[in-house]
Amino acid sequence: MKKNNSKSSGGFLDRRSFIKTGASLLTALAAPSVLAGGDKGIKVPDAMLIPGAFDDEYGKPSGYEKAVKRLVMPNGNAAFTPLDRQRGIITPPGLHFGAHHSGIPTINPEEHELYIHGLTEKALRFTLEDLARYPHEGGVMFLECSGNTWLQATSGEQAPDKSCAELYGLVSGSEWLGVPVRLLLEEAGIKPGGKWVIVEGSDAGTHARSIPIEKLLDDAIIALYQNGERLRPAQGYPMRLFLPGWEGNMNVKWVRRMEVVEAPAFTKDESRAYTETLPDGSIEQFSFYMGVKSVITTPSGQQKLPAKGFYELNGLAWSGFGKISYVEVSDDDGKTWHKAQIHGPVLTKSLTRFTLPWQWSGNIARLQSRAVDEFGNRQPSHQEWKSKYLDGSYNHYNAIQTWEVAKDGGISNVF
Amino acid sequence: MFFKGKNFSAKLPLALLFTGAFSGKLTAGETPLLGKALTVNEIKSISTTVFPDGKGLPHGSGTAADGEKIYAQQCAACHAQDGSGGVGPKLVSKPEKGPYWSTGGAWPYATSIFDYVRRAMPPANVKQLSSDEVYALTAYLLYLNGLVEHNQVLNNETLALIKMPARDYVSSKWQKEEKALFKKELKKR
Ligand code: HEC
Repeated sequence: MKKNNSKSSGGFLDRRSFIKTGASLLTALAAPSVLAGGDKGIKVPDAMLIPGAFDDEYGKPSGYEKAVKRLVMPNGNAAFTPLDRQRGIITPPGLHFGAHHSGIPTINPEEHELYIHGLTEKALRFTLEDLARYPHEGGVMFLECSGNTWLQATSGEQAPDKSCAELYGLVSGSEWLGVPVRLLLEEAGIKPGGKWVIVEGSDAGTHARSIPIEKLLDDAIIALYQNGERLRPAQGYPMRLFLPGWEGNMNVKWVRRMEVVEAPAFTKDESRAYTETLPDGSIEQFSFYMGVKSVITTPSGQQKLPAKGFYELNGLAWSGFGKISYVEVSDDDGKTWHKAQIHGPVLTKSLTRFTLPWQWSGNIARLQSRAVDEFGNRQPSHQEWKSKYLDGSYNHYNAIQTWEVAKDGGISNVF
Repeated sequence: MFFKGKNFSAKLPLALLFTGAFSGKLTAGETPLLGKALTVNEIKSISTTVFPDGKGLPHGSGTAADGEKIYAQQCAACHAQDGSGGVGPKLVSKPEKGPYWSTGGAWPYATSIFDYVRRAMPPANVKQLSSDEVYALTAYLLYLNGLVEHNQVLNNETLALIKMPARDYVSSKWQKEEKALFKKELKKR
């Protein structure tokens, strides 16, 4: 690890010297403070005197954690995960991000079926009860809306004054389990020429996407469980398509129909809304992979460091291609970089947690993180990302994030 | 009886079991095979997707002249009578690009307009338009974009023949790059 001793902003110490400084600091702080009122001892708290409450059938967070909630757009179309108040790679289902085009339908699982037809030997229907008896696969994986962080893409020279949740909250991590689509397609029997599958939901807008069959025969599942329980309505209850690492919009919620065909249908969302515009003005469609990306979640935009001194930088990294190999962190606007500590498990197509101890000297600091995945994919700078698309194109933004710590400890989003 | 050779935990390191996207070796033969056959009419009733070659288009017809009136009643409140947009996205525009794209400027196939309006518009009263009405509305949107005449009849044979401008400037990232990356990903596993 390279030492960052030239920086006035504070810096990253190598671990040995950190332990040493840490120790001397501890000695200093451990001295008893003599209070004005004399030494009265510590009062027994009420919780240790009063019998506790009954447990609930379905547990709730502490009443003191009310601030940990999603930001819901006024039209209800999107709900942002409060990444800046969370730790770890699993998002509680109630805090998972949502992005909806025609609201959240109420579906009675006894009336819902999954149909497979088109270029298949057999046209089949499956009930939820049927699917529940099939082998389940899946794992801990991220899901990200391709529009996540679009505000960075659409803002001009001036970075928008936003929090980490507002900018990055359309990504979440869960354990997703369900029936491999491969098994269902095998049961129906794919006819020669079957190359794409139109996957359709049972929402009012009847969302549909064209999916290459090779992905469906690989790691795609009809997910029934999220973090140990059946899907929430907002996540597609009773079943959704889950395509590990691919853009959120393709992970069709409330999935009802899969039609095996020769070529894509060019549905509404693959014709404009989920496309990118290249610098020459042409439109790029069918961009499926979510690129490698990372963000420091604490400290982050609109938070405030109370004093100079020690902080643990906390962040998340992910890649739609596979595993995160390493993450580097800078506090001097990218002049020097330091390998962050990666906390396992390091899973494929999953959020991956990283941290790095950091000492803030009280001067202006620019905090950044950049992740590299097992295929060597790297995050571009904001300018590099912008140069790949026509100004205004906003999907699949994955540039390096910069948080600026001002002298008063206030943190803001900057380019 | 257990199926032979599928004892993953005995064979694979624990770490592999915990990888998301674990591609097991199960085949349909090791599932309960519970799918039940759909009847011909059931298949017909759920096959609502319209494809670029016109497959899936129903019988019926309409012109922009017919569509103009329906549009005024059912669509203009959100998309404006001239298609310039409002609560709903812009359906018509000429030179603008990027987020300012319109349906007329960005969609490569006119069949997709029929498909989408039939399934999803207007949002509070979806799937209530007749085939003739959807042809007429599609014709009106194409007329506003300067792609058909006011009285040109669109039906299941003529709609797929309309060439949208975007056909000349769309490409597929999957075909260009991602398919190769996908193969690389499979190889690494
Ligand atoms: C209540 C407002 C409202 C009404 C009425 C309405 N629309 Fe829409 N329309 C929308 C919204 C909102 C969207 C975007 C939906 C989404 O985000 O998925 C949309 C999307 C569309 C699109 C896709 C645009 C694109 O390029 O992605 C078309 C085409 C369309 N509407 C046509 C119609 C037609 C034709 C009618 C009349 C039958 C109609 N709409 C009535 C609100 C409306």
